[in-house]
Amino acid sequence: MSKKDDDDLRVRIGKMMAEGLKTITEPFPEDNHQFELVLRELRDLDTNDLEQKLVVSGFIDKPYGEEEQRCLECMYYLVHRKWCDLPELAVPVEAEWWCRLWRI
Amino acid sequence: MANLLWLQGGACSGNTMSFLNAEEPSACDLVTDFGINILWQPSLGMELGDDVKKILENCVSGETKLDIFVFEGSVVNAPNGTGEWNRFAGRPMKEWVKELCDSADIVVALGDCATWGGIPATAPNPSESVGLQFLKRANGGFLGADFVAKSGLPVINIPGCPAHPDWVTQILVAVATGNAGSLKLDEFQRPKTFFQSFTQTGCTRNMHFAYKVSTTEFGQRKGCLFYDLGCRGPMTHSPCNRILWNRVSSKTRAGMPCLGCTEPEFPFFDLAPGTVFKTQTVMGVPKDLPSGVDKKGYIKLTGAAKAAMPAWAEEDIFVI
Amino acid sequence: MSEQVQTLDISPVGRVEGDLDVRVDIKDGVVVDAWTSAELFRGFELILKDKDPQAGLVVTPRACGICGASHLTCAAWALDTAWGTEVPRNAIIARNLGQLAESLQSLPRHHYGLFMIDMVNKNYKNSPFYEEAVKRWAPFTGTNYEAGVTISGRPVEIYAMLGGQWPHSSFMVPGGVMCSPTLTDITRSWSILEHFKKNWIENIWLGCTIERYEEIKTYDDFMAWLDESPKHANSDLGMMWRMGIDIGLDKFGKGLDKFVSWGYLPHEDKYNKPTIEGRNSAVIMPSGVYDGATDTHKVMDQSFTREDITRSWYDEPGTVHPFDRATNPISKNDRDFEGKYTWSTAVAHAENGHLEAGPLARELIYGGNHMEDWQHKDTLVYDMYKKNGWSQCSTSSFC
Repeated sequence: MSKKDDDDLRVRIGKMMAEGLKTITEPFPEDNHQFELVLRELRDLDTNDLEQKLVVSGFIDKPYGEEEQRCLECMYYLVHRKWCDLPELAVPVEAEWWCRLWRI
Repeated sequence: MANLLWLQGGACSGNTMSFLNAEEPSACDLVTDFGINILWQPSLGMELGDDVKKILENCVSGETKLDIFVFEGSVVNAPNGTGEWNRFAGRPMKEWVKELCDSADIVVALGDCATWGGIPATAPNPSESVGLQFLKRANGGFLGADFVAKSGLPVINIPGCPAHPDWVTQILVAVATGNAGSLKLDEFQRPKTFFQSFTQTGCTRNMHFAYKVSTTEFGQRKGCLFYDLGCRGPMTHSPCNRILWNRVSSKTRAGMPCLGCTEPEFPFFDLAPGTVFKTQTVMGVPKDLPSGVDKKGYIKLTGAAKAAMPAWAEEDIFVI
Repeated sequence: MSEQVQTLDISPVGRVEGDLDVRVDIKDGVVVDAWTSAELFRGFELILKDKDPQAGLVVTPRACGICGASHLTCAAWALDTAWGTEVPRNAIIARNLGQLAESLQSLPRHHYGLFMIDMVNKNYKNSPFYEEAVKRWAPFTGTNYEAGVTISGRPVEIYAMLGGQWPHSSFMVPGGVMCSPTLTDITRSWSILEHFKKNWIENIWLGCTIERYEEIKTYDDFMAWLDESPKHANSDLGMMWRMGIDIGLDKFGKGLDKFVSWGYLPHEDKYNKPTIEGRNSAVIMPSGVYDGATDTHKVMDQSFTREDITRSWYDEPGTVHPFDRATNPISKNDRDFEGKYTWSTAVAHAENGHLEAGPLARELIYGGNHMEDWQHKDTLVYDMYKKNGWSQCSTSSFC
């Protein structure tokens, strides 16, 4: 995918959330076993089903919780590419977004 | 001239095989250049049967001075404390071990099985294995916490699965040349010269560790193995990336997560489902943080590292 | 003159990787019966129960310090087979390279460290080869012992480039390998092989080029090769063979005369989707059963594999397929030579009975015609074995 494709997709995802896409933000996976269960759910999805991907992983378009968790600090966020590098997600993201697969 | 006897209990011979990879000094150099007289060694000894028994008996009786006793493998106590599940030269190996440890000037536990029990002692520990002076983290083991060899030193633990040949040869040379007293041991009786620094010290993935870039799948040409793939390099004491393996590499350099095999807990989490090659997390934060770093500091560090991350850190670095 | 049967207990027998005791009955200077007792039980099968599936990649290589790569290869392919994982071509090549590097290591290590030091035993002092044998092969001080043992560490440097260390790496994982070698790894590996070839195989071991040696197809070819040049006759292989004949190694060591190998080294284009049924027709080194009595070869179908536990310290039925083993050690492991006397179990075939496995078995199986055209075939050892009157000692060490 080109940078332009990434940018377009990022805008599209942003729009989906702005338009009120309800996603599963809770429960936050307490340990890596819970984390793995969410990953398994993601692996079972049709790889092109973007909306379900966002729903299952609990995407929101703003920081989360008291600690203001956001993609920017997440282990899977590639700062310069503005990209989520978790293989099960692999989507362009904004630094200020968040999902429940957040981890540092 | 120092007499050395080497036996194996609940062992795979991996430490012997690793020892044979040694160069500078090689196994042969130890004999020809450093005056170590190998009385017997399971993979190298000429003698068999009663001739071996005689060598052991002479060591126990004092007729042959036993300067260094190297033990590889766990001490097997099964069944029911008798040790009959590991017999050697006509009796339970543990009985030989006790007598030989009491006769030796210096006792060296070589490899994880001999130091803390290792793989055989993993739950449910079918062979009732223990290390010479530890079982996992607990001091005591087979010989008891108070044991000292004739030299006054406790068991010298050279852990690792296997131990690196240089760790062995260098300690043997130090001992054989009368420098055992200058060896500093840590709380687990490991020579500090090898086990003060971390496995991560010298790792080729340190830049990716610093900027928090993860290797998210095996075989990727970027990233650090600590974040996702369960690497224990930042918490493990060993010189694996200072004194390279087989002269050329290390597990973390090749792309394999450190399993923490120089620490008493190896294999970690008793290999429970979900713990192998997987970083354990609690609320999104690694359960085991780099040695000496607290959670608050780790979170701050992550924010700062991400904010400062240079663009190259996201690209493949180990390219053809 | 007939003598009484004399019983000899040898404990321990060294240089075998594991604690081994042997009892032999000797009559008229000939061993007429023997019992081998493996004297160590660790229970790896029990440790692996209820653990992470990938625990096998950590634990099974540690069953043995000299052949961990073989155990790791099997553990990784077993998971791939169970999970239906696809394994890429380059990953298969990397796995095979790892296993081959380990095998190369064991050639000099076995010969100098474990085997030829017996040829400097004082019992052979009347052999015309003895003096030279001591000079070359005496432990630690022999010229070629030192060279051979030291160079045996080189091939596994290739393993370390792929897996980080040898022994005991776990670099093979379901779906492939953990490494992605770069140019320097490949060039260095190549160079290590060249070094090993030049400085040991050709220079010390063979006394000729590998290409010349590979022209040997039969025992007669081999004997002609020995006579062709003093370099060949005086190479370590040449001298080991000639001294072996002189001290009578070709006169004893007859075994069961039935052999097995399950084959190994999956082909990089034929085994990407591993299955139990598809394995035999996907391995470069073919599987097989060789029966010497009828001089016949056949493919080894794993479903005929049996593990004989009759003489072993387990509370389990006598002969079962390995899938049906439970590993129930019996507590009181007294040695009863009429009953149970060892921790090891015996390899058997449902139709052919007990079988011998190992290097000699593999080489004999490569001598058959039962394999596919592209699979490895090599008749030298098969021919040698037959012409040496089925005696195994010298042929086996040759392998």
